[in-house]
Amino acid sequence: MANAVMTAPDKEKKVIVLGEEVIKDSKEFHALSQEYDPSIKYMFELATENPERELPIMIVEGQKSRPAPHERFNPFRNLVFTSQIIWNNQRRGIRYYDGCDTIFVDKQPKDKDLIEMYNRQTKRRNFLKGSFGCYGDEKMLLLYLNICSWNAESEFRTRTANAVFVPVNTDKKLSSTISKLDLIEEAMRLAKEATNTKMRIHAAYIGIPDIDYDSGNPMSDKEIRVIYREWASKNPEQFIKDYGNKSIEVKYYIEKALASKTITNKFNPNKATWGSSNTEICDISGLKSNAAISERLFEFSQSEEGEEFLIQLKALYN
Amino acid sequence: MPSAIVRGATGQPGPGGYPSGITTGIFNELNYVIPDYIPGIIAKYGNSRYMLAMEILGNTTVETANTTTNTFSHFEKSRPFGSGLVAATVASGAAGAAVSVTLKSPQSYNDGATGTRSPFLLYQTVKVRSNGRKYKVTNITRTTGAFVVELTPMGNYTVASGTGSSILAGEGLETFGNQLAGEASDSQGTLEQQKYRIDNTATVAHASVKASDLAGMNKTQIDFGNGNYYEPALAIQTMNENMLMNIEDGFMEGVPYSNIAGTTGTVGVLPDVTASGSQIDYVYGNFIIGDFQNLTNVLDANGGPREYHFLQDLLQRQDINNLLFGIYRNGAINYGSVGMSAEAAVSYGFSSFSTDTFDFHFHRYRGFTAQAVFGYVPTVGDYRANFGFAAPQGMTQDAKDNATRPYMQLVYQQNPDIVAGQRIYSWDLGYTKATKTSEASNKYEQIAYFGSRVTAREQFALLVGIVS
Repeated sequence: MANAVMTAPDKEKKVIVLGEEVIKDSKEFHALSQEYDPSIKYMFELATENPERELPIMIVEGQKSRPAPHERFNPFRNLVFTSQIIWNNQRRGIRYYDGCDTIFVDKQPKDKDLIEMYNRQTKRRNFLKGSFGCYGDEKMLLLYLNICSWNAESEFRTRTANAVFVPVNTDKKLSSTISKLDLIEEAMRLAKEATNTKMRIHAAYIGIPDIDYDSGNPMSDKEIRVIYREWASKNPEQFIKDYGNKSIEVKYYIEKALASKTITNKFNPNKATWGSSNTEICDISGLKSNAAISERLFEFSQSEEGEEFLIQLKALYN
Repeated sequence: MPSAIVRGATGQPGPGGYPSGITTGIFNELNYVIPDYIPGIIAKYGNSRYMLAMEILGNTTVETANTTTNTFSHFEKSRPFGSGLVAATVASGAAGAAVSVTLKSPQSYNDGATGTRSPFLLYQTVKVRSNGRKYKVTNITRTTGAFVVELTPMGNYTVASGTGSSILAGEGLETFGNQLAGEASDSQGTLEQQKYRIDNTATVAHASVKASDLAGMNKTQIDFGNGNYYEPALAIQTMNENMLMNIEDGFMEGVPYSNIAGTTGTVGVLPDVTASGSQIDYVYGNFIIGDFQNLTNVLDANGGPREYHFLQDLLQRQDINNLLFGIYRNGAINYGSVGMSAEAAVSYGFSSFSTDTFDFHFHRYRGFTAQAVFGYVPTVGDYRANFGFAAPQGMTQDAKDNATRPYMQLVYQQNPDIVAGQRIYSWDLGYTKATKTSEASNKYEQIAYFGSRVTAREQFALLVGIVS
């Protein structure tokens, strides 16, 4: 039998990218292999926004004044060109200067004066009103920006690093905006198509009044529908969440029944009963307020013994 | 015989015998000796009344002011010289041919993204920043947020950026007015600086001490100050110190209030500066001259005065001292005599440094350091570590009344019933006080109504050491 050389399969194949030995398909490999389109400007923005000033700055024009637009970021912040990162599971220093062919400090020239000269020659880059961009042909700068610890989304950032900026991911921003718009459309659809009963129940839950406070008149379905749809467009996520909540209906019916004395405890303060027949529903010993009694009745309706009660309740109001 | 309570004889056995005489052992038996002690109470962590910003910076940078309304304002005006940016690249025509460019929104407008006002007027001379060439505005179409300005070359050249054949998106256009009015020229358009009104409110700081009758009646061995040996004196001192710090922290860091119904806070100096001033980052532990130059570039661009005062945490002070000592070894060392003898005293550190026409004065501000104020080391994060705040020294002029005022003010709202100028109003009431209460206790109250005012926030800067 001919001699055969037995070798174990090479699970972690090492390759050289930009002068660095990395494991193929590792995150280090992907970071160094990233290609950038020279015609596209890659944007970054500061990670921390200004909170809104409680009293906005006013622009004064003649006798009028109006609020100045809120500035999301401060006007100026410089970009720092050195950082430490976690590379291949250990700390390593990186530094960018114009014209560098590697950003890894241990591979850059060791001459201190030379490095100082490179640093001085490097054009200062700054976040102006929170934004900074550079074209794809500045590959080393983009590599630095994407992997340095100042990038809050860098896979290589150290645990203790300050988060200074984030890449502007237009797709991510758009997706977030699109999903918000989708929610608004869905909420508006539900608000438009809800039956009057369902609408009134849900409107009561979210706090839309059913009485016009100026005139004291009860509001019509049409009037409530308008406010209901406006509320849905402004709070789509909450609207959709509550809309599907079946317990809101039950609580509404219970409160209505207590208000109209259809359910009462006048025959026995410790028992909730149907008003017309004094048939016991459940024990409410120790509970005095309508809110507490309502809550107890709701809990009862969700239990096995309360199934019959729930059916009767729904039959009354549906 | 009348009834009487009969008692047996008491007091037996009488005196104690000490065969070896009286020794110190007797004190252990009787335990009545109070050891010699210093009656005054000593602060473990030094004087907690750390230097206030006003005391550090002096009244040419921070002053105290009064307001008679809870909301107080001041006016500011923006730059007098106009500029804009080109929205989209436009190809140049022939030499001398006019080209129309659209002004980029919102940078070129005074009133936001849907701008209706811009510094550009008919007949103005406009300079292109990339090559310095000048053009006359020969037509303007004032479309909201998209003014179209026709630029006619004033010489035999094209309308272009740099040496190219088009004027590029983002190109800077600058104007001071009409420089080529010609003979028998008529009136020009009007330019006026943008005016702003900056409002802020005063917040309310309130502190109390309550001491029951018995708590206030038991004299202790300790002199809490001014010969007062009673416990409430220490609580009142604590209240005083906390009130001062409360005002200082509210003034510097602000008091948000949008989520607490029925209250009004104040914006604070640092939130205002963070939003509108510039921030220079440097690598913690490695402050270099280039970082100073970054800072002076920005201060110069924003019209800062010659002198700045830095309030810094200790770490940043040390960083800067280390840098400057590395450069100016002799300048960091001060030799002098100590006390009665001629021993040399050495101090290491710079209190001032000048560069690029700016003078910086450095001050250590304990309020930025949790260890010094609260006595613990933050491990999760510290928003004021390696932090410095550069405040311009001097006066700015109010746009409305031309009065000059320092850049920062601690504004107190005046209560008309309280003596004018009394910033922290204290009163007490209780069963031993002039204002009686039914409960046998005494209460001590303090209240202050204060807010912050920062003028020309753009001239301030933050210097922050970032850690990786």
